[in-house]
Amino acid sequence: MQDRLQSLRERFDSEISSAADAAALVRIRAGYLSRKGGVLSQLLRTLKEVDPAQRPAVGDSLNSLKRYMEERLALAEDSLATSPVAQGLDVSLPGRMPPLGTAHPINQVRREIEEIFLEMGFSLAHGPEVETDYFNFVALNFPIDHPARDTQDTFYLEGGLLLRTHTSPVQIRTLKARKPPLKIIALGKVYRRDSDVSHSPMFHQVEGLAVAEGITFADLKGTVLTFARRIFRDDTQVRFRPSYFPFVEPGAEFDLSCVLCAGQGCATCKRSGWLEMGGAGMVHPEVLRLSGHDPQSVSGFAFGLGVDRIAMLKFGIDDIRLLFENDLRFLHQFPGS
Amino acid sequence: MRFSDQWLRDCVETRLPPQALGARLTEVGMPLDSLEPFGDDTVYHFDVTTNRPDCMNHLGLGRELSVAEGTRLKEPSTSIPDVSSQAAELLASVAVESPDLCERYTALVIQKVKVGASPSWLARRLEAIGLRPINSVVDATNYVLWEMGHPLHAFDLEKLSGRTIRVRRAKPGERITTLDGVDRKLMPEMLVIADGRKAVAVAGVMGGRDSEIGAATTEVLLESAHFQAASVRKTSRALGLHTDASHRFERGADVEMTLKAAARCAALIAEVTGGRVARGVLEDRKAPPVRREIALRPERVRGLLGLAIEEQAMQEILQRLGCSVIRDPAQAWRVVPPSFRGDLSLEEDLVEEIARHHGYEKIPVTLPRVFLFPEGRSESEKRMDRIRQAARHCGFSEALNLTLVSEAENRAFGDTSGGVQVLNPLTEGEDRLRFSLVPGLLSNLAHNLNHHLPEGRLFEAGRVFRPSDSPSELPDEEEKLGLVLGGKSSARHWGEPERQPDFYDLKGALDQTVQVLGVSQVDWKSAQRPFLVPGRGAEILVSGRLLGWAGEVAPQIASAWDLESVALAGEISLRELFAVLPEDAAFRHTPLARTPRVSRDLSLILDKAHTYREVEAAIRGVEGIPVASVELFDRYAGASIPPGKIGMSVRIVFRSPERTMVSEEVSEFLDRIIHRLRDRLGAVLRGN
Ligand SMILES: [Zn+2]
Repeated sequence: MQDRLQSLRERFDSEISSAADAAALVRIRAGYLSRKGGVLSQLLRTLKEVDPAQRPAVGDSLNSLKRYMEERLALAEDSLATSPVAQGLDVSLPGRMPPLGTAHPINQVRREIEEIFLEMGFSLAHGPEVETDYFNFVALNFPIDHPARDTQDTFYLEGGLLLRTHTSPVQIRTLKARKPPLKIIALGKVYRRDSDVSHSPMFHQVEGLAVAEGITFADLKGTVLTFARRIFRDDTQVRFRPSYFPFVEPGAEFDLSCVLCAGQGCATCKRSGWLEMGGAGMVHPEVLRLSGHDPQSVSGFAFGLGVDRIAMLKFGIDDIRLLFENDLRFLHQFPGS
Repeated sequence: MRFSDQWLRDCVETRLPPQALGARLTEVGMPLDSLEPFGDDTVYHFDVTTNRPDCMNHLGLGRELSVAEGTRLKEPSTSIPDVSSQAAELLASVAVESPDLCERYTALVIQKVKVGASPSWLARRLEAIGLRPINSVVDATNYVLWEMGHPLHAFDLEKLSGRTIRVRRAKPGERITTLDGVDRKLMPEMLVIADGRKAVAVAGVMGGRDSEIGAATTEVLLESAHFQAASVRKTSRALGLHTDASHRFERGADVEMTLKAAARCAALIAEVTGGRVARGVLEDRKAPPVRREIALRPERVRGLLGLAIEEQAMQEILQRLGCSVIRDPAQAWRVVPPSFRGDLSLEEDLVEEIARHHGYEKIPVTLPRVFLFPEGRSESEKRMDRIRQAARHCGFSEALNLTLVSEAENRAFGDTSGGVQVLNPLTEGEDRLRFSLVPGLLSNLAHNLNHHLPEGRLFEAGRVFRPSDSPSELPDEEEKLGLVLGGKSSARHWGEPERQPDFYDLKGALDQTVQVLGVSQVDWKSAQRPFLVPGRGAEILVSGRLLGWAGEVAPQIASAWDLESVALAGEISLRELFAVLPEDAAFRHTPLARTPRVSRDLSLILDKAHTYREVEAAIRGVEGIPVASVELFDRYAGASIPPGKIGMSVRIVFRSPERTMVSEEVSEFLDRIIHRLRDRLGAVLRGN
């Protein structure tokens, strides 16, 4: 037995002195000392089969060999850890990064907007991008040949169809399909025939609608304020101004205290401290009536705002065309999702 | 819309400096866009909304300020001074023959005018708001338009045939040369002002050249009428002629204003031309409209606004705005708005008036007291999100492209229908709705590769459009997923060789993206598409359903899209994909096999015509053998392989769910597999 231990020790010594790297040390440690397959561990397990008279002496030898091996391994591991780089890795070399794609900033903002409203108990609603005149205008209290239609710069298709100029048709589709109480948002692409360099003919809007008994203008203010503070900063102020949209009455536009200068005045807010954000108001009784609801028993609010503008403000993008150019150097600047 | 500060202060008492005045009007719904100095005056630009034609003039805007500030409105005198003894009715006549389109036609006659340049105070006012002074009579009509809001027109009475005015629809084929010198064809539904012979003005839009005021004019017939809004709008649009007058008429003029504006203007003409106003008014009008009475419940005001506001405050606001208010403690109030407020017809309209002048900022901030079962995201919304996430995890970045494309782009990617057409596109290249996501993505890829990026991977998930059978039906909008990748040969890491992106990069990404949703088996079949390189395209199927296509983009397409290196593209329908997903797409746990696995490698040589799919199917097709997986780990041709043949090495893993297999039975399994591969595919083992 002692001979066997001696030759084991010699083999161990030769292996450890030729071990070049950490992987070799791991292999050696496993080969001799691992609890399951290590040679020494196996010998220790066979100790009970040894002649009882010799057992203490063999046990001592085994244990001292085990201690010896552990000490040498520890020493070898230490010296490897402190050896010059030449023997180890250049850890400053670039790692193998799996390619990671990024989400489009508008879709990042879309998700964020949806999350905020979902948490406020709103549902998500959708509608087609190609609409009828009825859903885009008539049902929203834009009569045929009404000057308010001039503000909409509509793209027309054959058969009297059009590209929706706002997400508001989803209000009508929802009101026709569901019974109050309801709270929905609709987010999607809208189209205006606008050739201005600061405008894109396609952009994104989010529309909110709440209809139930006893909904008030104060609820509208609270909802918009909560959203503004969640999406921007929690000291954001919201200012409501009277305005006109045929599908709301009373109608309003709302401004946010500038999220870049906190209302102090900067280039983005044209030194005013305020940013025009969107339109809102109480759902017009005619809109409720046309979609089958009694304006005397339920009331509602609606609001709409530009998603692209929120994305531009959040990410500091100053040119809307960048959003649709899809330059990877641009897209990779927004690794969040 | 431009307003003069000095002019506004003539109409309303105020001590607010210009900037504060603009801010105050903004608060009540007349937003100030900008202001600028104009000599010793200041010019405001207000965005007056389309529902408030009454504020598209200095007096009307001043009224809003007077209500907001509680100051006095200074209305001009509307009596006719210094009337001559001549009776107007002996000098001219007016008759409305189409009363459905003209509720009221009022005219005054001014004689002995000497037309010349306007006095400088008048010219300056007009210049401040951006108008060019023309002559003293025309300038007076423009002045009153911008002062009181009512459009007026002055005719040279001596040029009116029969000294008469007929308000009628145009006759078939009738023409008129308008003041701008354009000869215009009139349509029979258009309302015109005619004399005894022919049309002399397009009603509410523009006068005619033949009867215009000139230096020789001595007698003026001053028109102050009320035309139907929709009729003026249609005519103005049909003629492509938008004027200050049509702008106001189509938004709704005040029928009670005609005489007041005419009197004010006649007095001004007399003042600036030395003329005399003839006695009497020429007028043809329908019975005055019934006064619109609106029922208003103070509770409704508070309820809709969520604002505790006193009844007294409500009443004061309405009265200052010119409404008559009858308060009835038992019933709803009865409110009659002034004639110039055609926009007020519902209780909610009055609620806005009260809120506007009480101040939106005084309305409290609350949240809806509505309790709904939270619905969260729908299954398809979650799937859309996961598809996008999976594509990103394959290294693809998300693009968002314009849905407006050219017909050529659609056609290049298989649209044979002509597509959904936009009738009034901004540019010719954007007159169709996209049929495929790939054209846009390829443009993005080209943009990126041409901006020195070695490789590009992009995806988009969005809608494509297909026309429906009938043009008045909504087109089909289908969610699709498109992926493109391409670029030059490059190494992704310093330790690895350079490699060009190829079909299998795209295939792997598409497979992984689809599998994330729980699809285990995606079938790829070789298929041709005109926009793909022949022999390098495929159709993608799941459960026998065609999801889409993928492949290497054909050279003629690549060059049309400015791509200089290989590009791969694929597109699948998410509607089709979601349709084949199991109803309950939840992932379920399958117990893990605890028995050991046995793996064996086979190196096969077979005809090049055979696909890997056939090899795998043959292996899995042997009955009664527990094959856990088949994996191709090498595919090769070259010197060691006979021409026309291909080498494939597969690793087959056997595992019995119940027990440990012995090596004899695994050998027997392998023999049966080899046998079948030989029978079915003529495959032989390498080295045999
Ligand atoms: Zn700012």
